Amino acid sequence: QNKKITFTEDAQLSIEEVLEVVKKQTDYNFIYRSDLFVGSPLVNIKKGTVKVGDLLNRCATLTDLQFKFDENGSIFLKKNPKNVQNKRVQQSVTGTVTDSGGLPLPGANIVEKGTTNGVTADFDGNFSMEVSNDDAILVVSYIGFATNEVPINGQTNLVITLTESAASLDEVVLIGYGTQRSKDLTGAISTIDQKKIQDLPVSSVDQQLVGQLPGVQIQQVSGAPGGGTSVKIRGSGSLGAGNEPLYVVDGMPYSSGLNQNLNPLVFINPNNIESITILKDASSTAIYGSRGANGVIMITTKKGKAGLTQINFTSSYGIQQVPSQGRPDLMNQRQFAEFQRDRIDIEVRQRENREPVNADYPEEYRDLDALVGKGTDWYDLILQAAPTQDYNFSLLKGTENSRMDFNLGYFKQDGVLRHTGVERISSKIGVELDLGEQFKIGASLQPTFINQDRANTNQNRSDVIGVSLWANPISKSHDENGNLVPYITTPQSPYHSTWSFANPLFELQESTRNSKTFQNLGIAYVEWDITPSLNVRSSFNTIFSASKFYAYVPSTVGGANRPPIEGTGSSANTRSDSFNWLTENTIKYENVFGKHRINGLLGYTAQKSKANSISINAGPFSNDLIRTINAAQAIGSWGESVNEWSMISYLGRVNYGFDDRYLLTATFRSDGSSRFGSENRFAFFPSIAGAWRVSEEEFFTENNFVNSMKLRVSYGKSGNNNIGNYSHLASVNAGAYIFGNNQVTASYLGISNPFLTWEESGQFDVGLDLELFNNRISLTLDYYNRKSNDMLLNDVIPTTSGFGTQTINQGSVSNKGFEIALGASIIQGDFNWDLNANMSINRNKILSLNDNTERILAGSNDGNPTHVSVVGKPIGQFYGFELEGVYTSEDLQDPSVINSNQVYVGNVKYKDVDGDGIVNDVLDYTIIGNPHPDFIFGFTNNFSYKSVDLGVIVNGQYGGQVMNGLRQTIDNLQGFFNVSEEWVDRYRSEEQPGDGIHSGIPTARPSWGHRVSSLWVEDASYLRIANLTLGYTLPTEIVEKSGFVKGLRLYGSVQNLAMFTNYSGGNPEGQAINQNNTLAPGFDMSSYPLPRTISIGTNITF
Amino acid sequence: CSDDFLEIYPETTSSEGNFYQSEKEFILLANGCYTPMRDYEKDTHWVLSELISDNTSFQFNTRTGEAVRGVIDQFIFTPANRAYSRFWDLSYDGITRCNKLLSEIERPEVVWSDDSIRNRTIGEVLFLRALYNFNLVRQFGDIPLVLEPITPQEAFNTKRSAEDVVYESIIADLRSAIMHFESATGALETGRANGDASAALLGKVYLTRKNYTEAETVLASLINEGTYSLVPNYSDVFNSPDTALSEIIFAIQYSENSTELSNRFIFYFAPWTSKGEVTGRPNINIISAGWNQPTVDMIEAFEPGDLRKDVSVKFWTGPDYDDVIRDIPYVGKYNAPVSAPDDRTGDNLPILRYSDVLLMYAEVLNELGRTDEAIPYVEQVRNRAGLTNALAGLSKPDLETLIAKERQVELCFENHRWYDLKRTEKAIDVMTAHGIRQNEEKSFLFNNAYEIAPYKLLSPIPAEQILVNELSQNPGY
Repeated sequence: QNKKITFTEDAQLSIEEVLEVVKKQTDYNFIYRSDLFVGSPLVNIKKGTVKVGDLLNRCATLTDLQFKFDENGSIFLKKNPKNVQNKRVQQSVTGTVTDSGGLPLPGANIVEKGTTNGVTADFDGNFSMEVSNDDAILVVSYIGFATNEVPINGQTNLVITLTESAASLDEVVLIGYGTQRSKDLTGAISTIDQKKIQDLPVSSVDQQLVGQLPGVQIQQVSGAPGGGTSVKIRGSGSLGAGNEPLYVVDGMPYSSGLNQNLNPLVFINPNNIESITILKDASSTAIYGSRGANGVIMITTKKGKAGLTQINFTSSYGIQQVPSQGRPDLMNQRQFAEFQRDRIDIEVRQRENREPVNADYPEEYRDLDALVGKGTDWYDLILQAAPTQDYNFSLLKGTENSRMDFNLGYFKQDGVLRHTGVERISSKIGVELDLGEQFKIGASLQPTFINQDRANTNQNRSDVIGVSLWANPISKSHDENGNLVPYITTPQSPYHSTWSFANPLFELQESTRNSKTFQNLGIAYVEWDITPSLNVRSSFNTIFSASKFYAYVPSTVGGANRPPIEGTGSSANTRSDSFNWLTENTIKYENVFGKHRINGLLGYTAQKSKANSISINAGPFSNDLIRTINAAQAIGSWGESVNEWSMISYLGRVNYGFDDRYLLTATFRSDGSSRFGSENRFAFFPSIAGAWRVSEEEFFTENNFVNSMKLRVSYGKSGNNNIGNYSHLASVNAGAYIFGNNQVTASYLGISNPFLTWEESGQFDVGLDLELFNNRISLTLDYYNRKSNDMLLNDVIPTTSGFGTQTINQGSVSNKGFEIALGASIIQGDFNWDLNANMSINRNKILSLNDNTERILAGSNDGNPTHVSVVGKPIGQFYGFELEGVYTSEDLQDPSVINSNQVYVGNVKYKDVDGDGIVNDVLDYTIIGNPHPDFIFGFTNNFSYKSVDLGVIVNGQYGGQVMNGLRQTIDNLQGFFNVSEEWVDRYRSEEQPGDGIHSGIPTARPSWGHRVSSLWVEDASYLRIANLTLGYTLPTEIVEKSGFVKGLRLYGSVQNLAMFTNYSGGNPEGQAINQNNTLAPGFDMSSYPLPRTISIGTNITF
Repeated sequence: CSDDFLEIYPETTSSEGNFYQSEKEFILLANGCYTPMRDYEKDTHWVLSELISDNTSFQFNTRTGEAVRGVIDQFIFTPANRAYSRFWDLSYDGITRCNKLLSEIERPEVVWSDDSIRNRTIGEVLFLRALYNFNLVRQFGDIPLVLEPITPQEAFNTKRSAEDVVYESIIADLRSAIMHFESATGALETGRANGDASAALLGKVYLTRKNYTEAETVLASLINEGTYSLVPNYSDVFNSPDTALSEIIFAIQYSENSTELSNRFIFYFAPWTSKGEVTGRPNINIISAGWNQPTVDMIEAFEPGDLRKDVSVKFWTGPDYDDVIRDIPYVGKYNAPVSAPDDRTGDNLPILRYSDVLLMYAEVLNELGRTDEAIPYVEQVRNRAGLTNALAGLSKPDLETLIAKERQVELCFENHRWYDLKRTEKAIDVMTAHGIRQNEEKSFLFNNAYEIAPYKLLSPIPAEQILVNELSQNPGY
């Protein structure tokens, strides 16, 4: 009776008609006496989907019938024995049932609580019935609305208002390996209504989810088209094995791990997604065992439904631009020339012991007054206004015994950084057939092709964005004839010169970094209903992917201080393919015995994945005309990698409900994985959860304040197996050596750890679900405490062991947090205002590392670490010097300051943390900031008036800091680069001491003003208007006249409308691609900027 | 069946479990013991033994700013300098490989086709371990002495051993190596360590320890054996296509075949302003080159008529860093014709040469008071260089001075100079004088360049190892 029936429109049907529909859409048969329904009321049906069981029970309440499900798909209808005492009529009641806007709800069901006595409202929503006494309670229900219980309290004429319920309690929620009634949930599970986010003009579903869900932090680390986001559910629970959740697409564990270059979710067309469920607590994730510890995001694609034909076409077109907010302010031409002249002055004085003269400067710097304006804006030069477009066609169709879906999509996003972009061609076809009454088979294919042009960004100061920020503003990007200058030789002086560089626009134009990937997700399954309550399902899922990466840097593109040299082109080629298969076999049992509702699941799954990749770096190419490997003079390096893993799992779950009041869930999963050492092959992950629907209790008095209340508690274990494929084995690696002229293999052993195993995390969760004020407000509160143990640490060990690091299972981290989700129908009627808000607080703390390591250093800047993880603090604290300002002459007299060649008036003054009088790298580093936010939040407002709707999504974070890594360059007074405008206030002399924070140009060498310091750490709090969408839905009357169009919606939207932040860089969530996102988070390095997108779209249904 | 399904071994590497099958695998492991040394000789050891000395400096570069190597030339040593950590890490990588092989080679199931192969393998590994430790102890003084495979946990408990203990182990390894090689006569191969290399190195260790009696014995037998001789032309020692020279006792082998096998000495040592004119590869960017530039001190050390000068020091005439045209010196020893298309060269790096043995032997004899006996060995080396004036009648101190200078010019740019200066206790005097000349000559040096102090004779223990393993630091750092 879990089969679903779909109604395409609202209707009023007799019970016999209802049964006909059920017969058509399912394989049930009904056996009843032909006069059984004589005189029965009509049933009101709202369009949508409903379970057979629910539908029939609703019919049953209108009559005194009882439905009995038979083993072979027949349903017997029996009249209940009449209960004469209950029929003792004492009072008659009349009333009207309306929706919150006052419109009548014809066909609403009104039943006296605890009896089978009921009626339906007529066409005007009026009803009249006899009740047993004047304390009776009326249960008023209507599909799509929250059920309302109304005590009569002696009244004889009632006006009963039902509110539309977004998350109606009868809704069915997808959980791992099955579904569950929303009201029966015992775990912390969030869902999102796909309709609310479908118009967002982005390439992947993770970007659509930003700000929508409590406990889910989605960071847009880069704005690159097709680039990945960093997703963390309930904080970081791992140091060495990644913190990204497991994605499950149509039952197939799809991917986990951040791929900043190419987001794995780009392969899933968001237009084709039907629902998204996020499993957060361990009772929900334990069913995914050794992969569940970071949470699970389950994605289901759209499928055909019985009796439905729906053709849908959507399109949108937008223009993206980089907002002016966050563009860095660098010195203008004149300020820059002064800075360079000061630098040359120092050299002249030191080397030649004389005062500098104007002729010492390169000609370009000599006449300061002629240097007006900003100069060349290299950053602006490489950016553009870029179009983005999305077209999608889908067809869903269902007949009596077959259902199919078809989807075809094309998406193209040009990059706001010139010569970058991504293109997606995706499609899906799925069919499901009923074979007889008990068997069902289905299959689907989802082939997708991605073509992506990348640029090197988010890496270091030499990438195109890095260069465009420090490039000399006095040099010109184009020559007198308007042609692009390939290589910029900056003004040269024998005393000091800034770095020359490849014109970043020329580099973007001439170099290639192209990735092409084809991926197919294939699913085939068979289901057998052995009895109505016992179901067996076997499925075989596959992911095949083939990809090709090709990069070519022609000889015309130089580098920093590296002018182009003819005949030096180089190429990099990678070809990869992977095949991942999974077979799942489950048996499900579901039944109701009186007040006992029970369902159970047992399953066995096996999965294997193999990925091959071959890479060849070739060069130099004698000319750039032919760029294939055959034209290269040599192959510089090459390699092949094969990565294989397998997994066998046993899983089970029991849900038990008593009287809809007490709910209990117990699950287990046992995973055996090839990744685990032979000593620890199988892992066991149990969980248990309970819920109490307090509002169903007798003592819970009916009131209009709290309509529903559920208390949930859960505890369970889940794991993280992201430990690399062969980490437990000592590999024998093959190098090469040569004796005389004989090349030989030179072997050496890697380090082994046969005990290496999964990380384990135990999570306790307590939650409260409330429906308040006539169901107009829903509130969910969750507190959790997650402790991750046996963490995989890439432990730094003494190199006297022969190795620098070893992966071990040790250490623990706790994440404690609080989540709040609020849904409210603030105003209802012609004008509607719905609000969804969420806020999450997470506190991360390292409880222990290991016996040998007090701290884990991470990140890299100028060869020194930028982050530290220590016990008692959150993971990945910023680490560096604390800037105290500038040395003054008083400091030099201070006896506690030991005179070194870095101690002189005007030089940068870092804090001597260990107090030994000398400031030393690393030894005097200290914690200078925390990248973790105090809390994150999101709220979505939806307004509608008749056919017009307006949606606003706001999200943000409060607290937490970000380190701008490019400051190593643009705060670097060595004089090789342009620097931030704030350095105009630098120390220049005793007479012009500047602002006391910005030191002078270094006169001692080596200089060290460009070390990581507290100056680099900035507040990362932000508030972003992530989206604003204004839509217009053509009224049904007009649409219907056209004859074939069923619905038409037009909308305009602005994505990333505005951001309010104190961060001076472009993106407070930016993250360098080459820095570990767990141990060195919040390190923004020449980030690809996030565009603002203004788009228009249509959505037509036929 | 589930066990089979879950048992997956990597395809691209072997794994230890099923590796030790036959002698072949042990030969592969022995080959692997050479590569960490090859790697540090390529890019680091010359920084710590040649660039640091008075022999060489670097061509100034206005555009690259400070560098790991430039500070070492200027006698500014900091524990965080990556040159030290690379040298340290690669050394212990090599030692670990040696230890692992020695601990597994006794497996009874391995069948050896010939005992010679087995003895050769053990001998090679003992020689290499001794050489790794010898270089380490000469750089850092007391070092952690690791003679068996250790777990990371054991590594945390392994602290520095006294120099004397380390030297005892080096001597024991070399003595044992010599014994093993005696039973491995049938298994010689060009480029592999052998008994003579072990003897020559042992002689050098004794010389370093000032144990002249033992040094005399071991070096005399090596010379009297007659296997080795000086090649007639000094220039043939370098850049020769012949890999089996009568003068080379042990050399690190390089080849152009791949990046891994090759060195890039000339691409480090050519003046960076020469672009492709010295390397012959105009398409290879050498903006960060100009290292190991022979100093005036070095150039002036050659006597007039010394044929070695033009082989060792070459000049390129062109713009210097400041665009002034100069005759810019560079290391000429490693300049074999480059046939690879990129920055790969195959010049072998001599570690032990016969002329080194002759000069060591002369030094030993002189120290033992047998100055007259010593002189012919010095003359043998000088005659080949075209310096034929008779030395008979030189006093002991004069011969000592002459041998020191002879070692400087004969073995320049072969990573001997710094160790010779330290061994003969001349380092402070020589470097102080050198520093004064450098400071006068060059205006671009760091403010604290060439602050010579005795503590700087020992390199700083790498900072990471201090942090990770709480090793004690050498005093002064």
